[in-house]
Amino acid sequence: MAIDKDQKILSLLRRPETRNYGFQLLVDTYKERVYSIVRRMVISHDDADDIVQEVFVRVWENVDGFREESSLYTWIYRISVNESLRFLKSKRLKLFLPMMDASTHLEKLVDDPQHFTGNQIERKLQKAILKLPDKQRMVFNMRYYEGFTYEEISEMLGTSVGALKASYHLAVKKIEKYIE
Amino acid sequence: MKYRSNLPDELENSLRQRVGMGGTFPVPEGYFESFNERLKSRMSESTDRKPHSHKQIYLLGGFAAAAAVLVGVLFLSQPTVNTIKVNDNQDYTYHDHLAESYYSYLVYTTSERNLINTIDSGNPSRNPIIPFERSNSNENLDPGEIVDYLYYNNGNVYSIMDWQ
Repeated sequence: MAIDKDQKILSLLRRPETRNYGFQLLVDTYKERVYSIVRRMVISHDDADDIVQEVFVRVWENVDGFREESSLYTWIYRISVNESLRFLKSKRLKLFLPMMDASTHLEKLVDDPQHFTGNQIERKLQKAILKLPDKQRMVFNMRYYEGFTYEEISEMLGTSVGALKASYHLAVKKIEKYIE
Repeated sequence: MKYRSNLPDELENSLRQRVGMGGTFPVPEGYFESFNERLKSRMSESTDRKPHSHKQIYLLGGFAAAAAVLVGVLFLSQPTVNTIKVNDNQDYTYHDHLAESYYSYLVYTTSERNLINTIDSGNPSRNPIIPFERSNSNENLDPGEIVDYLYYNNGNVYSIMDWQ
């Protein structure tokens, strides 16, 4: 059970003599899922790798302040979400790109087999997803690919369940329309 | 027409049937196996990071001020009327963004009763799915219900904007 494992990780992290082992266990438990969340947002492996490392650095730096008001895994995924959105925003600012040009830039990566492999319709789906605004794209990915419940996503993004349902609904409709 | 609360799931299932999970993002071989080592060296680098000296901070401040002046000059030299480049993609997301903000505003700040009455009065030719008695009751509606209602009555959310 994930929550039991989280409790074990936290108790290891709280004791100085087992702190490093606890962190290693945490990284082993979450690295693939965090990577998946981040990669779908930034498309490029190199960028994803950089962000995932940053996520775990932040977890390490802030875990003492983690008050267990939310579960460990939602806290880690929230950091992943924030880091991904922050990266996209800063990339846009660095390159002076408006939202649409940034989306076009990511779509080009989807055309490159180094970054994405799939048939024509799968590629079209990815491009449709990339046309969504960042936060809506995140909601879509969390639900469609990662299988999180609205309640879990709500905890991660700090948005109400109703707003998430509306956002997801709109996202699916837009994607359907694009790939028609 | 019957009210359907599971509309997002139906749409999702339809999408899944058509395109499945939609391809893969290739990961270099051995990436996850070597991840912990690379993370360890990154963490030691971040511990070694030294704070900026006062001299560096003054220099950074100088650069920031120069950049601000440059941006100000560029901004003032631009025409004051905004121009929007029109192409399909841009139009799509720009309007989606506007509609979503407005839509969220409607759904989460307007009372359900006012929202439904506004929509019904804006388009009287359509038959309301939610009976009149209900729209006038104090019963709270689930946001999902409102989403379904808007969808089935309007086809798309952009038209809501025209009714205000």
